[in-house]
Amino acid sequence: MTDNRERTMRLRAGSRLLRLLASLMWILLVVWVAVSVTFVLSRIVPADPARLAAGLDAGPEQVAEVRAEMGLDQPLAAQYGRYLGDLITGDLGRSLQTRQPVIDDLLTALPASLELILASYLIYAVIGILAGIAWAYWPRGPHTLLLRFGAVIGVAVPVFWVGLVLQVVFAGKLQWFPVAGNFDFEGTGVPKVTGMGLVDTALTGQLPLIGEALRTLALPVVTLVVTHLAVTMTLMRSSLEEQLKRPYVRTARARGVKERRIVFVDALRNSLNPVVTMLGLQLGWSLGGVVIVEVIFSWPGFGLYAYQAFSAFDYNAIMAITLLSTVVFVTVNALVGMIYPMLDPRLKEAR
Amino acid sequence: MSPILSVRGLTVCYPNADQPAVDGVGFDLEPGATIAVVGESGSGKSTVALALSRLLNPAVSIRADALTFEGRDLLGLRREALRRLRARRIAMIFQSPFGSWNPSRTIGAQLVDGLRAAGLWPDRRERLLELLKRVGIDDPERRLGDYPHRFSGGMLQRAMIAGALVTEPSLLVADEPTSALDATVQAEILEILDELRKEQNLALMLISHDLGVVARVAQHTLVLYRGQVVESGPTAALYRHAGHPYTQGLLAAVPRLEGPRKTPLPAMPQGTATRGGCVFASRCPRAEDLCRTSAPSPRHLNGTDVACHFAEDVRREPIWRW
Repeated sequence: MTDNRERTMRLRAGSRLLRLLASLMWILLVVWVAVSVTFVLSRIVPADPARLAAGLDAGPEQVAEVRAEMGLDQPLAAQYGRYLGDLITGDLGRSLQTRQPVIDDLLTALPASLELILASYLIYAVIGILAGIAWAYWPRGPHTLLLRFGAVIGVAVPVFWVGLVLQVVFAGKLQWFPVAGNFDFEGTGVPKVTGMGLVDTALTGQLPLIGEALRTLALPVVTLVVTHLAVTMTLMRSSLEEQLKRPYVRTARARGVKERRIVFVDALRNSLNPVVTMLGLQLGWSLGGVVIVEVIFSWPGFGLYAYQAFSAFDYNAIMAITLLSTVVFVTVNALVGMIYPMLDPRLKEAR
Repeated sequence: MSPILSVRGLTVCYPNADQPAVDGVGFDLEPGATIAVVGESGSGKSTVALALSRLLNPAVSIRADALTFEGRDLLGLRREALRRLRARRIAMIFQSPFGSWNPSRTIGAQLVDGLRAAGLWPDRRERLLELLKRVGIDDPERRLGDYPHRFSGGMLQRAMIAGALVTEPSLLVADEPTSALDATVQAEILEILDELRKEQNLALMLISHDLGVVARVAQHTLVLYRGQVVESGPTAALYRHAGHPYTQGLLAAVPRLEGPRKTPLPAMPQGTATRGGCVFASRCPRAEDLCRTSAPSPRHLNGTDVACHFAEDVRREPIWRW
């Protein structure tokens, strides 16, 4: 009996390791496919990177020189091989625009985006879930009108419009918040630890500086929250409502279990599955999702960098941006996949 | 003995429905007795059960001339009093064993929730284990840690019974407790229910579409058609001299091992019943003009109460033989 049990445990531990390896392989495969497709596309596009790199007034010889320097005169297969080789050593090439290694550009831009993403994500995930629960728990009353209105607005109104309106009203007319840009470290004496304004000012513990960081964050974060909140909220509500109609809820009521316990202990867990899926997808998309907001608010993050790279056909940067977005998306999805078994015990055993 | 549950003129209307799902149902249930409510799907049996413990959606209207349980008016109870009543005095078992359990919580956690709601945790822990053993769950301590999908339908229903009876309620409402189970398990579950009923002096209200099941355990039977009681009386009398065509039809439809298959009842007609007439008129081969214009009220006849204008004739010359 115990022998059997131990063997099962060992088998289970072994299969868990295998599963982890399998999902890692899967991530690598998807990333490789994405990188290859982007590579091919960037070489098919009629624009000539060498021409762009050499500058408009460069002569044909100079362009040819630049082309040879960039390795663009070699056959496509060779270029592809070299690109993959560089990638493995962490070399993403140089940006045509900034003349800096793309990896350095990205490392400078990422903290700003991360700050924006994390701040807005935490807010809309938490508020969305809570509002959805409240809506399902109290399905009648004046508050539902407000929630319904918010849900429609949030889904219907485009990001750029919300951003621009907020900018015009609260930064332009009222001047409560800065029009653009993130927290400016210069002259404040705040040491750059993470590169995220709010975190670094919080580390100094000086309230006026923290306030300043919050002021710069406010409008872009509100824009992202307004446009993402509705989906989480409505999904949470409908999913919980659906669970509250299940027979097991009636059983619990028949046993005299308190309504609050039924909602939070019985039904909530079962209703989280679609919400987790949605939140996972949103987090996976977040790097792409901040592009518009960063452009509107001139927020010097990944999105703005991507926008500029695409506009200028900065193909090394474009390749790196694609790579990073893919890695983030696939990794987040794989991580989300690990949450499901915690929500549903049947999955834990079936796998 | 005074009845533990007394129902008079119970009428339940679902919102937007043109006729009530339960229409003027009345009966008494004595402590330790068993009453069966039978009828086809849609006859309103389950609605009666849910109305008793007020488990229907608040949008559903419940009216009654009297609905008293242990001397208290069930319709006048406030939320918290109602919750306590469900936790301690009225227990329920439902038809679908799998749907009735939360798939993501262990059997034990859900049963303990019930005991906690009744304020009997952990005092009744031993009793719960004992009851689980009684209903046929071996090694209950270990099985309580299992999730519902590890149990069979019969096992889930057994655990449900143990959980319902551990609080020592005085009324158990069992809504088709065995319909989803195999015949052999069905018999066992019914036996367990009946045994525990005797031991705990429990009043049992058994809802079923299966007259075979009912005959085994219920002393008293109520036949429901379209929300109305068409015939009621001691089960034995009802089986011997059913005086309502519908009761006869139901009895004739019970499958038997010997003899040819009996004719089933004609299908339930669509649409609403003729207003003002007998609810069964549109399906009754014996129906006459009187049946379509005037609703028969129940009359006491040879041991049962029958709502049929021609009960004497029907009894003498059964419409369906069983």
